[in-house]
Formats: sequence, C-alpha cells, structure tokens
Amino acid sequence: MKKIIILALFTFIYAQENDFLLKASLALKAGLYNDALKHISDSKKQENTNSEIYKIEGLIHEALDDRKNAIIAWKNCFKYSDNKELKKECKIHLKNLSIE
Amino acid sequence: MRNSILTFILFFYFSCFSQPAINKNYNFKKVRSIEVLPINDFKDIVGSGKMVETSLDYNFLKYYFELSEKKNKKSILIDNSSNQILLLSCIITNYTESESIIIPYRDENRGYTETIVNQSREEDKKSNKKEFLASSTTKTHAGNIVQGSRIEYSQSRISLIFTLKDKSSGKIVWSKSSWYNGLDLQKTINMCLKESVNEIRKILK
Repeated sequence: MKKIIILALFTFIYAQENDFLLKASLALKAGLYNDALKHISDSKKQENTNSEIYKIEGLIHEALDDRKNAIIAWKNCFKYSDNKELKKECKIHLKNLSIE
Repeated sequence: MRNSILTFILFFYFSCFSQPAINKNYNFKKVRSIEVLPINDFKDIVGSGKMVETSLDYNFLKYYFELSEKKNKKSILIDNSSNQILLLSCIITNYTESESIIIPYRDENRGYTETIVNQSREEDKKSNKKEFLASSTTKTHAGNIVQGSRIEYSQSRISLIFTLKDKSSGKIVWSKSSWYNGLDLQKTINMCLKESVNEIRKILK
C-alpha cells in the first residue's frame, strides 16, 4: 500500500512538472510572456538547476524589458550550464545587458 | 560568497568576447562625421536592411549622437572643427525572423558509489595474539536519465559585421562582428546594434 502511495505521489509531481512546461510552451507560442514566466517559475520549484530553463527565463525577461531579472536568469544559466556554446551565449547577453 | 562574485567578474572580463579589431595608429579624435552607407537586405528577406538601418538610427540617437540626412546620405555629426570622415558599412550575415527551438527536459540521476568497510578484532587463543581484520565492499549504482517533457519556443537571431573606413585614404580602421538572439525580432536587432554602437561611442570619446 505504501509503495502505491509513493508511486502515485511521484507520478503526480512528475506530471505536474510536465504540465508546467507544456503550459509555458503554449504561452510562449501565444506571446503571453508573463504567463509563460509564471509556469516556468512553477516548474523550477521541482528542478532548479536546468540551465535551458534559465535561458528561456532570461529571454522572456528581456522581451518584457525587465533588465534586472534578465541578468539574474542569465547568471544562473551560466552557473548551471556545462555547454560551451550556451555559456558563450550567456556571456553575450550579460555583456549587452550590462551596457547602460 | 565574495570570492565567487570576484571569480565571476574576472572570468567575465578576461574571457574572449568578440572584441573589435582596431587600427591603433588612427586618430579617432579628429573625426568630423561618419557617413552611414545603405545596408543591403539579407538574401531574399525584403526590408531586413531597412529594419537594421532604422534601428541603427535609434541606437545612435539614444547615445546622443547628432544625425543628419541630406540627399539620401545619412551622416552622424561628431565634431565640426575636425576634418576626417569615416564610412560606416554594415553587412547582415544572419537574419532569422523565427526559428523553432525544442529543448527536451530531462531528469538526470548521475548515480553514486557506496563503500562499506567492516573492521573486526579477533583473538588467537593459542598464541594469545590480537588480530585486526578489515574488509570493504564497493557498490556502484549507475543512475539513470528520465526523458521528460519538452519545452518549445521560437526565437529570432541576427548577426552583423560593422566596418569603419577612412573616406580619404580608404583604410579600414575599425571592424566588429556581433550576434544576438531573442524572442522578439525588433528587440533582438536593437540589442545586437546596441553593443556595436556603444563600441563606436567608446573609440570616439
């Protein structure tokens, strides 16, 4: 019985995470950046070390002219990324965002 | 905390950005004006050149440059007392209005190694000696990757190459390439140009 409950709990959490990302994708397609940001923040509550999620978050903040939060997101993207190309992209965005 | 911030700043400044190539013998302090040459469209994308051109005007104005347009010749006025004129050309090397990006979202369990060490002390009844016995067992758990959902979005990408040429001598005195990506095309162009215009501003100071 215990195992079934644990399995059900894991399935629920996992499904929730997928659901948040699906909703974020749909919101991005519709150009609803604020909504997409909300769903991405929800998905980060489960897993907050995915650099790609921080990249999208940075792009959304830039599209919304929120320079301060865009810098935070790109810094996190740089921190959690192992990909050389993505790190380079982070540096370009951080450099441009630092220009007054 | 302070150390990590310092490391980040140092890494940021000493890493290889696309720094502009510059002729150090050229005196940028004597520049009278910069003539902006018309920007050609990228491949078959009609209007792409005009869009970059308009955004370039916006960025120069934002940095308090004085712009003039006479007989379809656009110039950035810098210092009337000087005599050198520079020609600014811009080539669009990439102009992607919208490209679809799909990121598979996965959960990676990197596994772990478990080592159990057993130690015991035994006494030999005949010799009355005490012996230490030690044994260890190592287990490696492989971990796994769970492929989850995916996130899908579209982004714009733009790449530009700028060149500054001295009008009278024909010498290329400055060149820079830059690229940028973003969710919105107009903002992507603006951000890409912002960096290059800022670099031009720095050399003219």
